[in-house]
Amino acid sequence: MVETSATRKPAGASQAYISESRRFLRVMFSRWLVVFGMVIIILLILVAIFAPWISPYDPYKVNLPESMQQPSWNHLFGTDEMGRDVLTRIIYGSRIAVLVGFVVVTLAGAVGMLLGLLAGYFGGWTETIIMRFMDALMSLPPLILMLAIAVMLGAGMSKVFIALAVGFMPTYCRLMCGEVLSTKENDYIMAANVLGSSHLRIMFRHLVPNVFPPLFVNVTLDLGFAILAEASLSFLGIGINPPTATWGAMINGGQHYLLTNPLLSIIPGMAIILVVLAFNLVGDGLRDALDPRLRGRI
Amino acid sequence: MIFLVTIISFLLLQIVPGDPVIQILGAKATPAQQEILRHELGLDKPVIMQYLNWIGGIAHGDFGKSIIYHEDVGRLLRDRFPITAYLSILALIISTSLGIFAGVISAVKRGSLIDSFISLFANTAVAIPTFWLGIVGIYVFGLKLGWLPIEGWTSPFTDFVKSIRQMIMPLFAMTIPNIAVIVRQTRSSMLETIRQDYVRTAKSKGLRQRIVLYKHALRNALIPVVTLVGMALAFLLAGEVLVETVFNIPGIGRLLIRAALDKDYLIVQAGVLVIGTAVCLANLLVDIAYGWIDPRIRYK
Repeated sequence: MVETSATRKPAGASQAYISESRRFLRVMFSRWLVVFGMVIIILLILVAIFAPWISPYDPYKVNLPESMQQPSWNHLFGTDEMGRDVLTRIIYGSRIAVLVGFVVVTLAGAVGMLLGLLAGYFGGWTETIIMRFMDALMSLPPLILMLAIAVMLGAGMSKVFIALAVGFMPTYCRLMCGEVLSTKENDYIMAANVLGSSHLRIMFRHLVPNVFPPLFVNVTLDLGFAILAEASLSFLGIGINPPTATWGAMINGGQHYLLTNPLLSIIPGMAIILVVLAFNLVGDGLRDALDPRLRGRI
Repeated sequence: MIFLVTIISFLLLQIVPGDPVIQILGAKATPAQQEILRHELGLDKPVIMQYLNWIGGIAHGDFGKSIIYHEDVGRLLRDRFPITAYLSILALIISTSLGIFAGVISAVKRGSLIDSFISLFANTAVAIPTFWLGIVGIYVFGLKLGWLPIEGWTSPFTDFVKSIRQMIMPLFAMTIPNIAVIVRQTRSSMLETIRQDYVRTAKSKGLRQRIVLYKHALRNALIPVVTLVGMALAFLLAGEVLVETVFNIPGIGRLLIRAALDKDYLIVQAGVLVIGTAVCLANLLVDIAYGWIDPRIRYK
């Protein structure tokens, strides 16, 4: 875990009350590692959006005379076996990475949280069925579960999204169920109940806003891990089909040319590390900033 | 839990879009051929019966016959299982011991240079793709320096030295991200424990720092870490699939990937079942280990 200035001070050192949002911003921006992570994420999103304008070449155009070039001013990271510019393919790969991250986490988060909400709110057999199913999914190593689902569903980007989302979903369901179970005991929920609010209103008006913050940390971390998981599947040849430029597939393609041009594999790996690390740093920062034990202090 | 794993593995075959028989045989097969295979796979029976037949077969060690490789799936798995088990258990031992060691050091020397270094490593290492680490290893130590063989597998019983040399890089690639996860957990758990009252009491009794840390604090701090060991095995097995592919090691992982690429659904299904069962058994062992570490939760 990243060390925070918040946790480093002995508890109770400064008792002056500071508003929640000011404290949040202060904790988030007080550490350069978290800021570094945020900068990387913003850059990633900008690069993904403006890929066609900033990339020097066409990511798919085969240009055999220019193949396997070493880095130069024309090709900053060199070219691959088909003469495609590596930098351009990295830039286009960021589009897939961003897409995978956001689609998978949105899908996993939405379905997982909804099921967790239902399980936690209604309890009883609803909870038993939903939570046992999640236990079953969690009893397998996530990557292997995702791999198997992707294989069974067949090729295609949307199938990969579904497979990854199923792998990431159980955590959200569990977290949500746990949060709802403890939050629904609060007096304001009982008050809403007494006032005759419908189940739907209680769930979405009163419960969801209160249980969401802790889940947000998980969302940020998973954005990175979804990208890592997709890269692993693409690397194995089970993810998104070639010739689409994905970082995982680029590493896979490059490993046959390690002796002549190791950069083909090394550069996309670095891109993955940088992005996953950025989401991790920001996720850790969020965790500290949202930590209720530090509320009102620092 | 193992029951749940069988359900999930069974359901996997059910989500194959369209008719799995046509998927397996291809569109050119005659209806008669399709009918024979359908009957052979038991797909003409109701789902519950299919499940019972399938699980009954597995209980007898019959995983069915691979359609692509024309071999007994059970035998394919049995041949490869020891290799995967050997590698993952070694990796588990290495990563847990190194991870706990580094995590404790980092927590005890909190704020020092070594702590910053370990924390930086832990943060970066979880972000590194296992397969990439393997490939970089092959390039640096295999191709450039020529110190280690770049692929393959030898049983430690036939040629011990060669076997070790071949295993160094796969183990390295598998354990690094795993060590990072364990370091992070150990460190935060140890920091939490050091703050407890009984640690302060032990200190104020005048016990030596070493005894306080390793006898009083560490034992308690390890409880959440032990939970993680079960998960670590799951994580390692996933990494193993990638590493076996990169280093061409004939284990269950590589079999699974090859079957996946060839669309041999039965092998994928059986592979998932075997890996899932292994993880469940590991978690069972973890539960037993709890009682040993923490007498408060000893089962009656």
